[in-house]
Amino acid sequence: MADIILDLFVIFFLLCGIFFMFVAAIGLLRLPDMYHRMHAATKGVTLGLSSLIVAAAIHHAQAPNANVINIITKVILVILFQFIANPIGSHLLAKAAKMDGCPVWDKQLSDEEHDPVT
Amino acid sequence: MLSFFLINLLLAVLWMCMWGLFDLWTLLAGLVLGYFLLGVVSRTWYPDGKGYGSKFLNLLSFTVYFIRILILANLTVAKEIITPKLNMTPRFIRYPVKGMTSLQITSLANAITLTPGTLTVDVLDNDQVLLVHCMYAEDRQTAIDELDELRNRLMTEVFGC
Repeated sequence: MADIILDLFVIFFLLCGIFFMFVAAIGLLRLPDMYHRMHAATKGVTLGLSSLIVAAAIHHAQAPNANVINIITKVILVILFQFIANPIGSHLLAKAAKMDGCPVWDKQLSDEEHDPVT
Repeated sequence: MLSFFLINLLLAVLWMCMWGLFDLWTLLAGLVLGYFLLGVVSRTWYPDGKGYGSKFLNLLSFTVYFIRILILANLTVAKEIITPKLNMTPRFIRYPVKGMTSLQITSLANAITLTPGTLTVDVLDNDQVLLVHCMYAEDRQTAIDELDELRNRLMTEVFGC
């Protein structure tokens, strides 16, 4: 019984991960400019990969001779580094696009980059 | 805060060594015991009388809040992508972060990137202003208010000031 419930959790997290990664991939094609695409890429990949890793962890923790502490610490480390590295990567890409004068969507309301210091 | 957490881990490892059992339950028992011990001891450290115990609970509540807004952010982006019409109202907003240390600015920038509809683009004016790209900023003040809530929670619950 417990196996079935854990398997359902695995399926749930796998489906969540696949869904968010897939939506992020479509978003890269569909959203209008560089900055909106970075929104999709960062958020979707962070949550999607975290769900996939959690699913893998639950699956492997069910094995008869599984080292549960090892699995939990590794999962926590991987997710932590995801949360640090992914935003920094998107930050750098967006900054590069901004410095390069990447074209923006024509419905953009305002850009305060060169406003005077307040 | 971080040093107390490390002491907590050290106490748990010591607990495991004393028992000679290196499994999950002994580790958990050691962590919980060390948590209560430090909760009592650390009250004298902080001037506000709140020890490691309540600060750790604050960190937990921030984690829950953060996971909630991360999921919310993904759902907003997913909705925007799946539904046929694009109805974003994007803006670049200057968000002042004067008087914060660089560790706090980095954490805030990362947190902003992972919350709904906002993306940190640049740090301007000698680390005093963050340039934030907002997807839904029809009204500038509302967007600023959301960022303010995130910043206040981050400052009080994680850095404790």
